Amino acid sequence: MASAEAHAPGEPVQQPMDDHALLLAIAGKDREAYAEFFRRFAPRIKGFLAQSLSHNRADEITQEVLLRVWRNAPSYDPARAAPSTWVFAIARNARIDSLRRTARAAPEPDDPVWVPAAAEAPDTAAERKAASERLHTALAQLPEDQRVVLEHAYLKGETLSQISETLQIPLGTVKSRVRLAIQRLRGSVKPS
Amino acid sequence: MANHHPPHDILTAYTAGGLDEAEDVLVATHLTLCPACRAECADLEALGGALLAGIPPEPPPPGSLEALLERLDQPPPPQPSPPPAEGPLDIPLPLRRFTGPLSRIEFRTVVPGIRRFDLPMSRLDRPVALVSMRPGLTIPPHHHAASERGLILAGGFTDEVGHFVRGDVCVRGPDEEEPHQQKIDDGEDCVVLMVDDGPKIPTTVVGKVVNFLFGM
Repeated sequence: MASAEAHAPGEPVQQPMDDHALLLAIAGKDREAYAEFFRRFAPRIKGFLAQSLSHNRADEITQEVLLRVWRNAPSYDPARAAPSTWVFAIARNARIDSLRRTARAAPEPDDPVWVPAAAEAPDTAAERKAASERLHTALAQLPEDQRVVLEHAYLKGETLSQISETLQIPLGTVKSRVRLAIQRLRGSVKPS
Repeated sequence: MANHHPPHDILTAYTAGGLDEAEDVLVATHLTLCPACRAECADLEALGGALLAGIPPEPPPPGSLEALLERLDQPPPPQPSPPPAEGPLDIPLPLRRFTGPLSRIEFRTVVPGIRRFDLPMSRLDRPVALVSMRPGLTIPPHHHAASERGLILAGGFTDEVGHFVRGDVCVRGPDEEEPHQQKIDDGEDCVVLMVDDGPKIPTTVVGKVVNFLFGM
C-alpha cells in the first residue's frame, strides 16, 4: 500500500477500495475491480466450500460463486448486507444448488404476493458496516464451545442433529449453545 | 401479517444452509409473507458473513482468474420462467414454482371435505403436501408420532394454540400431551403446506380417518 508521505503534494492519495466500493465497481463491469475482488475473496470462498465438498468440487463451485458475483453485483445493496454476508449467501446457495436438482428456495421481492415491511427507516450502509464490525469483535470474544457449533452450522452446513453426532454432544446442548451464542452476539451488535 | 412464526432453530438452520429442500421451501414461503422473520434472517445471515471472514484461506489453482475472466461475457444459463401469480393472495413463488397458481392445482379428494396435492419432493418417510380443508370442518383429535410443520396459505383454523391464518406457521410434535384438534374457519377453504417427519397417531376411531386422509 502506498503511504501518504510517498506522494507529491497535491497528488491524490491512492486508497485501496474497500469491499463495498469494489462491488459497486464490479456492478459497473470493471474487470480490474473484479480481479482484486477475486484476490481478496476466492481463497476464503474456496476455504468455505472445502469444509463440506471435495477439493475438486470446491474449486469448481468457487468458480461458479465468483461468476455469480459478477452477474449479481448490480443487485448488491450495501444497506441490506455487508459484502462478506452477501458473498456468504451466494456461496451457501451455490453449495446447496450443487447438491440438488432445483435451486435453493428463497423469498423473491418481485413476487406479486410479497408482503413488504411496514414503513421503517432502512439501515444505512454506514450503520450496516458499523454493525458488521461490532459483530466481528463479538464473534472473536465468543466462548469456544459456542463458536464451534456456529462454525459447524454455518461453515460446514451441518444440521443440528449432524453437529450433535460430530461433536458427540446431545442435540439439546447443540440447540442451547446456538441459542446462547446468537443471544450474546445480538446483544453486542445492537448499537448502545 | 403472520403472528405465528417458525421456531428460531429453523430460521438459524435456514440461513446456515442446513435444512432439506422441503423445509427450505416452507421457510422461504413464510419469509415472502413475513417481514419480521426476513429481518431476523438478515441478522442471522450476517453471522455467516462474519464467520466466512475468519475462515482459513485456500488458494484456488493457478489460472482460475483467467478462466473466469473468459467466462464473464457468456450469457447466464436460461432459467425457466416462474409461474405467474393470479393475485396478491396466490401461493408465494418459492412454493408456486412447484405447484403453479392455487386455482390450477389438481387436488385429489381423500375424504369428503379434505383434498390433497403431493409435492414432487415428497418421500415416503417425509410427506410434503398441500392439504385443502372445507370451511367449518373439524379435524378429530390426533397425536403426532413425529414433528409436523404447517404453513397456512389460504383460509384459517383454530386449535389449542390459537387462530392461524395466511402466512402463519404451526409446529406440532410427539411431545405434546393433549391430542391435537383443529376447527377450520368458515368462509373459504383452508389450504396448508404440510411438511411431516412421519405418520400421525390417531387417538379415536374417528381420528384413524385422519391418518388415512392425510395420506399416510
